[in-house]
Amino acid sequence: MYEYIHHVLANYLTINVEYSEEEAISVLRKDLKNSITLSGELKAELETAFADKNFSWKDTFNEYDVFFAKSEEEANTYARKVLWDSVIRVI
Amino acid sequence: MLAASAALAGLAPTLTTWVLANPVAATNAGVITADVAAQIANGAVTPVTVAESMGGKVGAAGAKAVETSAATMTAGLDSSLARIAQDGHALERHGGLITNEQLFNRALTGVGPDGSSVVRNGQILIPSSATAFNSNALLAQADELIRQNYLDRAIALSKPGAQSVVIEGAEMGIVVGRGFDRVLPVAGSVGPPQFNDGLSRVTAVYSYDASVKYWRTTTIYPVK
Repeated sequence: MYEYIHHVLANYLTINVEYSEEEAISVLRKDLKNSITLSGELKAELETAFADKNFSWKDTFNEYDVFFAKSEEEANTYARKVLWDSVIRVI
Repeated sequence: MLAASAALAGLAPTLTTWVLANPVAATNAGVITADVAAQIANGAVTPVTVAESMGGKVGAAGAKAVETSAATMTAGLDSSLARIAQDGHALERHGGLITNEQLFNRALTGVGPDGSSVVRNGQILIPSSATAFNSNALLAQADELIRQNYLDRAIALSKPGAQSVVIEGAEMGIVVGRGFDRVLPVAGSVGPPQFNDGLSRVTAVYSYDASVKYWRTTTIYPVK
C-alpha cells in the first residue's frame, strides 16, 4: 500500500539520496511532469493517505530517513507542505 | 607488489589493460584475486610496474603495448569521471580525494565535504553513513559495474513510471571504500561514530534524464 509514496520518499526525500529540500522538490516536479503514471498514482495515494487515520507520516518519514518529527501533526503538516503544496498542486 | 605485477605481466596486453582499468570486474570474473585487485586499487600495482615486469619476459614491444594501453585507459577513466561529475554529486561528496576527517565531520554534523547539508523542516540530518571511495578510479569502476550488472534489472523491477531507482548494497568483490556510521540521525549526538575501512558494498541512485534518454548517476557511495 502507498507504494508510490514510499518510492518518492526513498528516491527523492531521504537523506541518503542527498538532495537538499529544494533540489528534491525540483527534481520530483520535473519527473512527475515527465511521467503521467507517476504523477497520477502519487496524487491518488496522497489523497488517500491524508484521509487515512491509520497511516503514520511520522513513522514513514522515520523509516525512510526523511525527517524526524516530534508528533504526527508535525509530520502531516510537513507532508502536505512538501508533497502536496510544493509538488502536486503546482505541476 | 612484485608478485602481483608479475601475475598481470603474464596476461595478454589487452587483458592486462582491462584488468588494470576494471579490477572489480576482473575479480568477479575470476581473472585476478581480490588481493591483486586491492593492490591495483591502492596504487601499488600500476601500468608502469606491470610494464617493468613484462619487459623482462616479453621484451620492449610487450611493455610498450601496456604503456600505450595505459594511456587509453587513463583517457577512458577521465571521460567516465567527467560524466559522473556532470551527472550528480558523487565525486565531491564520495570521491577518492575526500579525507577521513571530512567524513568524520559529516558523520557528526551532517555537513558534507563540499559544504552541503540536508535540511528537512529545520533539522540538519545526518546520513546513515558518511563514506568515500578509496580512489576516483574505484568510484568510476563501481558505477560501471552497477550499470552493467544491476541497473537494467532495477529499472525493470521499479514502479511503472518511475524516473529514479536506488540500488542498495551491491557487492563489489573487493574493498572499495571507507567511512563512518552515524551515531544518531540528527546533529548533537554524543559518542564517536564507528569507522569502517573495509567497505565492499555500494549504494547508487540513478535518475532518468528524459531529454537525452539516459540514466544519470545522481550519487554513488560505499556502504557496510
